[in-house]
Parts: sequence; structure tokens; C-alpha cells
Amino acid sequence: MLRRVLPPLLPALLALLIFVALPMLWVVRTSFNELVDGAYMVEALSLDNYTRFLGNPWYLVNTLWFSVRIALLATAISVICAYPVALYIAGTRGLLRNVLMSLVMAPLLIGLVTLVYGWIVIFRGGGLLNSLMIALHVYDEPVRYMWNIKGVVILLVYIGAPYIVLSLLDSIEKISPYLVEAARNVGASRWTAFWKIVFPLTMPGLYAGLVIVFSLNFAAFAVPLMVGDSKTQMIGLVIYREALLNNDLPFASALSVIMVAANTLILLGMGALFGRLILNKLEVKQ
Amino acid sequence: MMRFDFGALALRGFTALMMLFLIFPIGVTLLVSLNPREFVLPPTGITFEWFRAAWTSETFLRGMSVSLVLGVCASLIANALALPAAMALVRCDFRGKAAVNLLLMSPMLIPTTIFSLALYIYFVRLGYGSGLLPLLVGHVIHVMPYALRIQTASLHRFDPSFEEAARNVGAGRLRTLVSITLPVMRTGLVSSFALCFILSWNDFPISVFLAPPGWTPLPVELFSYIKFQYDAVAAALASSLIVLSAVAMVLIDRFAGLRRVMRS
Amino acid sequence: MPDDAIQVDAIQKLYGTMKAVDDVSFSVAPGEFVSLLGPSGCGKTTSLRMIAGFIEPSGGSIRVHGRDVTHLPPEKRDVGFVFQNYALWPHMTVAENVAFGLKLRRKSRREIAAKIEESLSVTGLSGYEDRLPKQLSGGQQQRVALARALALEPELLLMDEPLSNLDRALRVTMRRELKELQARMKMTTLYVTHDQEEALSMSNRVVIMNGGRVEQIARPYELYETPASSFVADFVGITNFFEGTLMRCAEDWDEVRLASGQVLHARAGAGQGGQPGDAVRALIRPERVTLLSGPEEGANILRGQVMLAEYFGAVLRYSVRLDSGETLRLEVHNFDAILENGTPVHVRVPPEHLRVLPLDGRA
Repeated sequence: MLRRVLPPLLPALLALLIFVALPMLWVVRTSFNELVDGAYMVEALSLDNYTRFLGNPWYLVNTLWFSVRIALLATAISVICAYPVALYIAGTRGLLRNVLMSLVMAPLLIGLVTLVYGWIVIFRGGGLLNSLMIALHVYDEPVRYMWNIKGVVILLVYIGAPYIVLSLLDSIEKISPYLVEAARNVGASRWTAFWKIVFPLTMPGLYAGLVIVFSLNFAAFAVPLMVGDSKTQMIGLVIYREALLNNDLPFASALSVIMVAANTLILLGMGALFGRLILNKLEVKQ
Repeated sequence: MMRFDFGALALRGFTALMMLFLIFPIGVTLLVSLNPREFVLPPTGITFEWFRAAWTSETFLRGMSVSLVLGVCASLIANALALPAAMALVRCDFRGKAAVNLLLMSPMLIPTTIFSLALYIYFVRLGYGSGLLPLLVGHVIHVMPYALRIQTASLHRFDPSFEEAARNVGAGRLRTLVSITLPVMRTGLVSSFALCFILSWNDFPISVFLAPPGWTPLPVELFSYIKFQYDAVAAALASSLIVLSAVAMVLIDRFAGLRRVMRS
Repeated sequence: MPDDAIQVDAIQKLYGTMKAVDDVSFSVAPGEFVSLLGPSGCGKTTSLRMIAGFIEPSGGSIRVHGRDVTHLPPEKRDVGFVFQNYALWPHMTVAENVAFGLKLRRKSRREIAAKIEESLSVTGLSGYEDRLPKQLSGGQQQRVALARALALEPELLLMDEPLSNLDRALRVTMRRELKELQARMKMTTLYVTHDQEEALSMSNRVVIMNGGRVEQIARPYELYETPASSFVADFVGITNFFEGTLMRCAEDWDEVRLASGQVLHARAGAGQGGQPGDAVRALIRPERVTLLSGPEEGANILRGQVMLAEYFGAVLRYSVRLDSGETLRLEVHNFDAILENGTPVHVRVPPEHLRVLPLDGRA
């Protein structure tokens, strides 16, 4: 069997081994190296890069904790935006459904830079939104929407919400409408039927979406790079800057390890929370 | 299919608002790119001036050719790697299949930041830090899971009994592959190629990490442009990218079902 | 009647111009078991769902114990409903499924526990309280669905093809159990099915539907023996149909001439007030046709050849090609040998069992 299966799988597996697994291991190794002035970096086994980050309250607060907060906030807003949309789309069909699905998926395929450009046109100081609001006398001074935390969160929501819609839809479409009817039949109002039947059954989809979107948000560097300012030092952005602008590969590597570790911890926490809420009941073995 | 009719109106209203949010930057970009008065509304007419400027700009043309070469090469390589793997995954049952599948899909699960950094460091250490190879490898690895997903889906779609029926009426192994298997795969391959190409063409995060000097792909070029300039030429270029993406979306949806492909 | 448990009066359901349910009326007396029987798409499930409140009727009215529920939402109706696919909530245990409706009614904890125990023991599910639906077999899920409905002691029980997802052996067992339970609890039941065996064996009365309309409402025996239309005769059991013309309506007997020229006698009054010359259909059940042991002469004695013999064990069914050209199916229960194809035979069509129906537009 193995002799039949291995040859076709080998090229792809080798590519992943050589260009994903090994490089990732290199990152871990590099994180223990030292940067020496004049030299690019030297082989070493030191924890300096870790202590430099973890021992520095400024980094901890303004990068690690800041990234966690922004990622959680953007994820939460994405969920609030996505849930009703998924619910509505699940009830549509035909042309309307196709149009809605295309709109939802457009941000996933259209490049980030293109989308950011559109938001800049809308949000910049003299942009459309400010012109409109000032013309309508909602406020008189232009509001700063871009190149700050607001811009970063808006963009992260814009990119993240579609993923949550898609993964919620997977769950919602598995719910037979008869389950809702059965609840109505034994005396549940629409609201009760939603909260007691539909909502719990969408938890697996919601959880799957949360995991993806939180990880995306937590690691984001392009969004804060494009629409952030000096205060939006998300960890992904710091990694980018250290690696490409400061050429401090050991430090960037250590930051990557820390980022993955923190991400894993947070996802485990979410998993435990959700597990206790609902998943244990749905995943009991046969 | 379900119909939740509670609060139907509120639900519809909210969805409409969200759709507006999703379409807003895209619509505005398209509008500005055709507006003779650039950012001043309402438009007085339609102009293709900005498109002409964008499509004759040397920087952009160079970015386009880089992105085009990169996208085509990355898609071809990724599909070539994925095709035999997809066949093995769909046609054969073996122990550890789920694990192999997860492994092949893993680039989707690794944050691009880390993946790009890892490749960057790796190639720097190998001494190829400033070549074109890291960029190409990055794009290939990035799009390969998508190719694998479309191809396995399109292979799954046909019942092995189609092939058995062909063998039964006397077609040989090769003839069956050519007359039965590939015609079904063809649509899958077209959409797979379209998806890989458009993902590579539009990619920013990987390119910004790995592009060597002189080989700047279009999105990175566009980013540098809008960092310093604010005009409708950028809108025209962005619009061109949007239109291209839309065409790819239609192609992919037609042949593979966009939703199944984009689900993470 | 005002004391009926359900009174359905001229309900309609239109989808665009398509009439899914067209002017359907019937009633169910307290304690009665009534089936809605018909082919798929005949409107039986739509009718049931209108009574449960899942579908709003386009016209007509529905009363439950005299109370007009036509426009009430489903949760205000107090009717039990058992779904075809059971619709058990997958995230709730068996006990929680049963308890859900009771909790909504704000019953005390003790009362809920007692009700769960009672309804699970009635349905033979004691000990399964903490299982999840997916840990149960199809038959057990079916019982939970029933227990869930019974726990609320509804005024009436609606069942939508509840046995259709079970395999045949289990279906027959469950059919019997269900009927016994219903009779014991004197539960007013309206039962939708496309399975005539189920309808005939379980029901006090059967409502036969076709194309959104009621074809006949009758007790099972009447339905089979005196179908009101060709559709009913064809849908329930097997029937020989012969098109022909009513020739004679008289005190002693009626006469039908078939298209082939063959003349058949029927009992007096079989033509049901038709006039000589009317186009009619003559119907005879296969088991009512007699296979004669030898040549005989006389009215309604026909000659033919065996075309096909189908042996079912207890029953032997012959298809006989009559000399006049028609094909006649007949069933024999006591037989010593199976006739070869091509064997010439004589058969008798007893006039008292020949039904004559007007050949109206509805086939």
C-alpha cells in the first residue's frame, strides 16, 4: 500500500518538509542566537531575546497585551456583525443568496492593499465619510478614522467577519428546520426556540470561526502596517519591523515563538470555555 | 435550508447594513476610478483617464509583469504538486490519511507573518536571501493547500463507478483517465488555477517579506504608491485588481463552488 | 359537530397558483384514530402542518375542541406533533428533550421528573434518560419523539409518517405498539401516511387525499370494499379496471358493455343512478374473481389464457388474457398446483362484487 501511496504524495510532502517544517525549526533555533554589532548574527544558546521581550514591561503592555486586546476586540465585533448575517443568509436562496455570498466572500479574495485603499478614500481626514458628516452637520471637525487603533480594528473586522459568516453557515445549515418547529410545537416562542435550540447548535461553527479569526487578528502585521500608527505596535508588526528593518532576526524569531505560544494558550482557554458551555454535549462518543 | 422568521425585518436590515459595509470600499474605489473629478462627488461623467495613467505607468507595468510571472509560475507548480497528492488522497485508503491531509493543509493554519519570517530566515541562512526563489517558494506553499482542496473536491465529485463503468465497457486504464477522469478534473483544474493565481496576484503579506529588490509585485508597488500619493490613478489600479478578482471569483464559483473553497 | 376534537373546515393552501391543499374538510372525534392517506404531494402533510400551525392556511378554518386555532402560532395550540425524522434536539438528552416543553409550562421540578418517568416508561425507554439522541437507534429515537409529545398530555396527537424511516420489520412492530398505546390512552390521533397497510390496520377512519383534495372519508373496510372513485380503488389495494358503457339499469341487474364488446352483469343499483349510455368504469378486486375448474357457460363467465403466475406463498396471482382482449388479474388462496403460462382457463366475475363508477374527469 505504502509503495503505491507514497510516490504521488512525496513531492508535496517534501516541499512542505523543506520549505515549512525546516524553516519553522530554524526559527526556533534562531531565537537563541545573538545579534552582534557588525556581524549579522552569531550562533549561540542564549535566552536574551526572550528576556528582552518578556522582561520589558513596555513590550508586554504595548505589544503582547495590546495585540491580545485588539485581537479579542476585533474578533468580538466580527462575531456580532457576522452572526445575524449568517442567520439571514441561511434563510435565503436563489439569486439573493448568490449575491449575498459573493459579497461576503469578496474581501477574502480581493487583495488587502486594494481594500485598504478603498477604506482610505472613505476614512481619511478629508475623505468621503468626513465630508458627508460635515455636510450633514453631524460634526464640524474631521474625525480621524485611519492611522490609529480605530482603523486597525475596522480593517480586522472587515477581513475577519466573512470567515465567521462562512463557518457559522456550516453550522446553521445543519440544523433541520423541524428542530425549531418541534420546539414551537411544545410551546416555545420564536425567541425561546432560537435561544434554546438554534443558538446552542451554532456553537461549534462559532467556535471554529473564532479560532481562525482570533489567530489571524493576533498575528496581523499588514493591517497595522498599513492603517496603524506608532501606537498600534501589534506583535506581528514588531516581528516584521525587527526582521526586515532592523535585521534583528534572533529577536524576531523569539517574538514569533512567543506569539505562537501565546496564541495556543489563548485558544486552549477559549476551547475550555466553549467545551464547558456546549461542545461536550455535541461531541460525546457514540 | 432554514427559515428563521423571527425578527425578520431587523435581521434583514442588519444584513443590508453589513453588506453595505462589505461593499463600501470596493464600490467607492470603482467610483473614484471612473470619476473625472477624482474624489469630489457627485461624478460629472465617466473618464478612463485614470485607467490609462495606471496602465501606462512604468512602475505599475513592472509590478504587473512581476505579479503575472509569479502568479503563473506559483499556480503551475502548486497545482503540479497538488494533483498527484489529491489523487492519492481521494483514491487510496491508507493509515494516517487524515494526518497526511492535515499536514498538506497546514500552510493555511500557520499565520503568514510567521511563515514568511521563517522562509526569510531560512533563505538568508542558505545564502539566497535576495533572490527570486524565496518569493516564488512562499507563493507556491501559500496557494498549494487551496489547489489541493479544489482538486480533491472535484475528484470526490465523481463516483468511482463512472470509471468502473468505462473499464467494464472495455476502456483501458489510460483511456479511462483521458476520456473519463480528466474531463471531470478539467473544470477543477481551471478553477484551481484561477484561485491560486488570484491569491498569489493579490498577496501582500508574503510578498512584502520576501520580495527581493527590483522584483516588487504589484500589491507591494501599490502600497508604496498610496503611502505617498493620494490620487485616482491608484483607484484605477485598485479597480483593475477588483475586476480581475471578480472574474476569478466567478470562474471558481462556477466550477468549484467558492464557499467550499474559501472555508478555512 | 361542536364536540369533535378536530374540525377542519374547507382549508386551502395556495403556493402561487398551485393549490397544495384545496378545500379539505374532515373531523376527528375524541379518542378516534384517523389517517390521512395519499401519494406523495397529495397535500396530506401540508394539511397536518396547518393543523399544527407550522403553515398558515390560505383559507378555511381549523378548530380544536371547538376553539378556533386557525391563526394561532404553533406554541399556543396544545397539539402534540411527531415528526417524520423525529426532530429530536441533538444537544439535549432524552430526559431534556421530554422536559423542554414541561419547563416552558413552568411545571415544578417534581412534576417534570414524574412526567419524564411516566412517558418514558409508557414508550419503553426507562433507563435511557441520559442518552443523547445520536446514541439511540432509529426505533428508540421514534419512541423519544412520541414520549416528548405524550408528556405534555396534548388534546390531540398529530403524527407525520412517523414509521417511514424504520425498516420493515420494526415498522410492523411499532405499528402495533403505537395502535395499542393509542387505544389504551384514548388519545385522539391524526396520522399521516402513504402506506395503505398502516392506514387500514391502525385507523378508525381514513381520509384519502389526492391532488390536494379529499377523495373519500370512510372506515378502512368501506374504503376497500366500496371505493368512491377509481383513484381510491386503485390506490388502496389492487383492482381490475374495465372501461365501458352502462347498457341497462334495472330492478334485477345492471349491465356494462366493455370496450371489447364483452358484456358484464352487475347487481341492481351498481350503476348508482347513471343512465344507460353513460361511460363508466367497472371494477373488480382480484380476490373476488373466481377461477373455475372447468368450462362453464353463463353470465359473467369469461374465457382466457394464463399470461403470468406470481406466487407469493399464501397467495397466487394470475394475470389472465381474456379472449375479448382485456387483461384480468385474479388471486387464489387455496391451490394445489400453479397453472402454466398459456393454460386456457374460465373465470367468473361475481356480479355482486363488480363495482360500477361513473367515468368522470378525475381518474
